Amino acid sequence: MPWLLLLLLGSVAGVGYVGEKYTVYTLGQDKKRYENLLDDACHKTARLRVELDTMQVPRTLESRIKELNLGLVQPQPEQILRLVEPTAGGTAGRSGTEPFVNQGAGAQPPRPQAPASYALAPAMRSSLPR
Amino acid sequence: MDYPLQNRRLLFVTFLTILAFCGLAYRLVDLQAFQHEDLRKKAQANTIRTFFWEPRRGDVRDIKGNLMATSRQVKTVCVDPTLICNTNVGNHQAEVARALAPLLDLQESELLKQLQIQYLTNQSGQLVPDRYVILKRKVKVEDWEKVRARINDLSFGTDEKTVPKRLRPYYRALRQRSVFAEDAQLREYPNGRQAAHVIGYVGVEERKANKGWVIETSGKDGLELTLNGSLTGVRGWRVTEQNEHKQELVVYREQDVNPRPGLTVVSTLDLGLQNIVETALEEGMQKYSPLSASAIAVRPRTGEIAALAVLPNYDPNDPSKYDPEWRRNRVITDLNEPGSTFKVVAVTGALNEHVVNPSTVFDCENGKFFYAGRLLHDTHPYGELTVEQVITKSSNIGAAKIALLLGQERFRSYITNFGFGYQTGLPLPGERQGTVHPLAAWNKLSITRVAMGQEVAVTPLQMAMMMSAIANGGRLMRPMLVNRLEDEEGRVVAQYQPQAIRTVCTPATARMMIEALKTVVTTNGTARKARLANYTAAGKTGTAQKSAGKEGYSGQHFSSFIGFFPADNAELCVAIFLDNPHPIYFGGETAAPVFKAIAERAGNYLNIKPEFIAVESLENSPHASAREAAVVATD
Repeated sequence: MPWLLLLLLGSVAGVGYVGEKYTVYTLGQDKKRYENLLDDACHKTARLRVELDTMQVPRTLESRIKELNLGLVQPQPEQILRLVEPTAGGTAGRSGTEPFVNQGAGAQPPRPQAPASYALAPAMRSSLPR
Repeated sequence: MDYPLQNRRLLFVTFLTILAFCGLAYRLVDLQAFQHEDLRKKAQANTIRTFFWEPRRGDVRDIKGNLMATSRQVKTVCVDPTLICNTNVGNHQAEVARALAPLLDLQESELLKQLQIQYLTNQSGQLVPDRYVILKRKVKVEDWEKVRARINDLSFGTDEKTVPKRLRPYYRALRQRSVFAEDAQLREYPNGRQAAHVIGYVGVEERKANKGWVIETSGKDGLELTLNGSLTGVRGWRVTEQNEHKQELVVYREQDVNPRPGLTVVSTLDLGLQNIVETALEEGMQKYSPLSASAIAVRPRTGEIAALAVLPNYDPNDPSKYDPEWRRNRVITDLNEPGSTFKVVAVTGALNEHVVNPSTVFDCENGKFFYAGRLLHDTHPYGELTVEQVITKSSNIGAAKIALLLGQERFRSYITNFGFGYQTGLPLPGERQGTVHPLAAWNKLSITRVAMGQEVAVTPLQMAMMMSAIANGGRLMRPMLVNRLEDEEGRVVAQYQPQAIRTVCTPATARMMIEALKTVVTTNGTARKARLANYTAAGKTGTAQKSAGKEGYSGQHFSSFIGFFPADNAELCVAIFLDNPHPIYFGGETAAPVFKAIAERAGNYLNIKPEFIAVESLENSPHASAREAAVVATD
């Protein structure tokens, strides 16, 4: 009887080993499939990102504006209302009446700080609707 | 009982059996030990595969993040003609050609020719069929999907269910492997010709790898070339095993390294400003018909190049279609005598050395000055002019006399201090350093000729940087074209800072020079057409005769205007160069209006505070609040 038990144990171990090998193989196949899906998704994202960026370049936007006949033009200096920008430290820092002057590459107009009060120059204040 | 015969037979069989086992044992040892290395290599060659992944080439963007160059994934569609034209089963060339021609936008007859089996000679000298024929490059992924679907749908004149079992693998291979695609990248420039001379273009090279061909992209000109290393990225690879169906056995994957995409180059160019510059330059080209036109817009405080345009230009999406002359970046490669714009150097030197002051008076000899046995002319006869008026009127005689007072040693040192005779260091290929002769090569006349921009050869960029130095209080900056490098996630990998090369003159001298240059852009000056509606501009005109080598001067002219605005707090320096404009050729008449067109639009675009607003435009404004606001803005 012991030899039969041994044989049975051996058979079970063998089947288990093959089963595990098969599981590893199928997991590998699944991994490969998901990798392909991920690759496709990444490529699609990259493609869409390029398309979006291409649509946003000034040249494309300008041609679309012309196509759609929107009549958009650059504002003339006399059409620009320059608001006084509040600063964090009250009157310290930038002068309110001073417009943003591009300080070089990547410079952005400073964001208005938490709106304690948006002070307007007297002449502009008078032009606001009451 | 004795059975000698049987015993002998038994012994003989035993001997044979032992001999057979000995033979097998020897063979086993032979295979496992003696031939181990060879057989291992053969086994690995059958199963182990190495794949290389090409990295995505980095983008080029402008300072505001607008796309200037990008890479798109495309496919190279290939075919294995041996599967399509099988002598044992049948010839399916016509069917495949008919199916693919409309999808690949190719002629059916042309496609049929490509599907014919061609023979190649392999390394052993044997004739083998070519199983890798490229049908079309740069096929969009969407189009490739259609091709694949179409091939899968083809019946090949048979019903697969009724096909004999032995032929089924062939039809499966025909559908799955006869037409295949390799990954490739297509470099795209969404803005077409815009800033083509800065961005440059790429070329492709085919390289054998992994039993196939890899198409490598490398920069050939412009930033694409100088920053090729950063843009290219690093290739990835995977070492793995495949089964007999060419499916990867993931569990036996040994090495797996992802490619590292190339870095994104963020240029200092501003595409909005570039558009303004190119539009104005095109208008100038149409109006004055020069051979070529160039413009540079520099931020004087940092040396950043905000726009750089050269006409005629080309489309980097297809550079081979254009004349190589059009692909030359004339701003850094073309050398010309600068003409009157160079008077700024002599006058700045003299002011800085306190040899003269702006009100020092010079006799301009009524337009004819004999010096060293030669006659020097002015365009118009002038009597006495102050130093400031010499600049205003662009008097050759006045400039020559100022240079004579300065002396040739000091004059030459100012020329080299302004960067003439040296490369500026702009990261673009092909920059020339120009010609400034050593003092030993100067004759007695040279100092008077160099003062008015003759006997020296300079690039347009050197001239723009010289004027920017004046606008920047005398500090000469190194021109910047790259602001930073970013990785795929937008993290900054390298940030470039403005670099001051040297201080050429004191801020006080620069201020005096600016005051003189402001007068050029007045009704008394040579560049009244450069006057701006909302800003004070300063600048200098130049109209140089083009040199014809040893034969002296040709009848052609090189006209220029280099100016900056707002004059007292310069935000932008714009240099315009027109090569032989006609019929009018004076810089003040041709280049100055182009400067005006650019500066007025650029001031608006960059939101530079107007110094004054024309009264008539205020009165015409429909908005009362705008009129009031304008008053506030200009207070």
